[in-house]
Amino acid sequence: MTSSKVKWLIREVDAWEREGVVDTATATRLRTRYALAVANETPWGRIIFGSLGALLVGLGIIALLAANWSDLGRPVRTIIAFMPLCTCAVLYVAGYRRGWSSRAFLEPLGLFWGLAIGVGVALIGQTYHLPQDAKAFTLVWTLLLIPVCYATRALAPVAGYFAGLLTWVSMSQLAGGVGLWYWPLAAIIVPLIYSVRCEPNAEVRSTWMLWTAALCCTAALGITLEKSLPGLWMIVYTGAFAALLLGGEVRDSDERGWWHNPLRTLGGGGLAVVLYLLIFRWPWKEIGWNYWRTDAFCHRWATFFDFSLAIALPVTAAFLLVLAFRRVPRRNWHSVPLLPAWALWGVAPFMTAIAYALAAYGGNDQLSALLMTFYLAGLGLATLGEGLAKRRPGTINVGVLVLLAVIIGRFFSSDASFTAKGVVFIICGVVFLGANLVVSRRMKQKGGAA
Amino acid sequence: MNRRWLLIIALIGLAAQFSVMGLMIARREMTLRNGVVCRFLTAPVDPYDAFRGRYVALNFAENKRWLCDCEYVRGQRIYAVIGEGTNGYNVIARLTTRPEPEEIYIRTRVLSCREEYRQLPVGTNDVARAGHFQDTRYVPTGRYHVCFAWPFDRFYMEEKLAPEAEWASRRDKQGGVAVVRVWRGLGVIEDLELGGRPIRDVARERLKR
Repeated sequence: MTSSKVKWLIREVDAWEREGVVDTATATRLRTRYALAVANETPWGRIIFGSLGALLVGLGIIALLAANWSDLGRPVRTIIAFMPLCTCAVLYVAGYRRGWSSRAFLEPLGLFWGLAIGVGVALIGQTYHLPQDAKAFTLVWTLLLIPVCYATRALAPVAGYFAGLLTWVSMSQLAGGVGLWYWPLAAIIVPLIYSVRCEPNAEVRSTWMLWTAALCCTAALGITLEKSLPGLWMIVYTGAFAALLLGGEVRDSDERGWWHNPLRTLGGGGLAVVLYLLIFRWPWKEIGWNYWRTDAFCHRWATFFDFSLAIALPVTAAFLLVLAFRRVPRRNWHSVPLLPAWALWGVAPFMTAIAYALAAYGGNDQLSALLMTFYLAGLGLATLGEGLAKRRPGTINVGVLVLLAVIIGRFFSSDASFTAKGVVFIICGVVFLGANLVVSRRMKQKGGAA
Repeated sequence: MNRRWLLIIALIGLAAQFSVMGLMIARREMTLRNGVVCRFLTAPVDPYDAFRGRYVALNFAENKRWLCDCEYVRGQRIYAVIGEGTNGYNVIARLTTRPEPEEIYIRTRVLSCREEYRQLPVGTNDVARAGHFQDTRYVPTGRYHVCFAWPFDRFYMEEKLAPEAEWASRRDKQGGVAVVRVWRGLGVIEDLELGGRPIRDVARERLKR
């Protein structure tokens, strides 16, 4: 609970006490409880300004050293290279001995420590004229961030670690290398994020960490794929997003709000985007074994990773689907069992696999695109229906958005005349406006959130 | 997590960070002390690195592309054996996967390796002499173009001196000489010379004028 809400509650408790709603002892207990909550609250202002200060100092040191003071000899430069790191060591040990465990101390320290490593390695590179090897520089800096992440449990080094890994893997793939090491390296930080998520009063920090990790891993997925079998990315990406969506549903099904459940938001959003792309014909052209990629930058052994993911991710999604489905209460509509909308979204990798088989072996890209169009339109309708049933305007809007996207996307890419397009759009618009009006009235009558 | 554990992780991390940086320094210091001096012809150009500041990029007269009799895999570890050139400067004598112990060599990696092809005209001798080929075919020569990474390609300088160094090199139309110490496959640039003098001194003089 934020401090403003606690202040409001304490004012209310004062009023309840005056009005005799609660006795003095209860009011005192409530005040004590919420005063403690305010005391434990993360001082965000101090953290942000402290981190900003650490960032500026770190960048200032980098700029100063980049000036290259050639009058300083190698021994002096060596000492300077170690100085920022020594400062961090002294600060950390002093903080430990004096019991400074506040986030306002550890967050800026984590940021400065991360920069200190980069400063040190860069200065050594400058002193000994190391060759241009941005890939090695990024990897060394990123790997040395691991203990900083665990020691400070701060957001900045974790974000820096994932950003560094993503940069390294991008450079590695661009140079024709294999970026599979990204995944074991990223897995090193997973226990930390999990343990921060279990910490009390660390909700905001852990959510930011999870967002950073999920976004970087989603981007890295596309980079690390070997892409030897054209079109396999569709199954891999729908599988990954479905697993994220269902993982979010299993892990934090009670979390409401898109920001607080990054897995569900990223999974749902990513799935909607990928499925939308798949309603067109172009992704289904020239895919399958007949178009196997063989060039100088192709590593045959690394394609094993693509195939493993194409199997493992849909299987994980299926497992999570069963797990999530067992947790939700059963709903019926006129004695017909109803599936929750996310369950239909969760089967996306299997629908994609069917469409892939049709396009790759049947050579029919139109049929695959049509199948995905109907599937995505069905998902839009199911989401809209669930939003109406549960009276959630946000879910209704998502359903409407998906349906509109399908109609606009398919209809604009068709060869129909502008007159026909115009008429259909007007009809669709009228239907949606009418539906919205009816839903608003029904919700008002039933006391919903319209 | 227990505070004591956090301290242990922090200390291990600090030890790792100091060790990595210390090792980087120690290897290069050993090379600078014990290495054999090699001199390569180069042309300095002045660019910029966001983290390490200004430097002069070294365009070595030595070709990074080498013609070999055997095929190498991209990323393979190879050794560039250094020999004496006819002009008194050092040159890359050959590329090998196993250098002899008495040789001076630099450890590097293969960036690319592609087979060499020769263009053969299809047609009569008259057509070939006239240079009007209708068709040509390519035949492999059995040799390979190997491109490898130079382990030294930049010389860091003070931000005001680097542009002056480039100007001095351009004005005098003379290439620089990179003085490199080589020890156990590692090469570290000791200095960059222009007209037989350290490039820093030349640039400083230009700056004072």
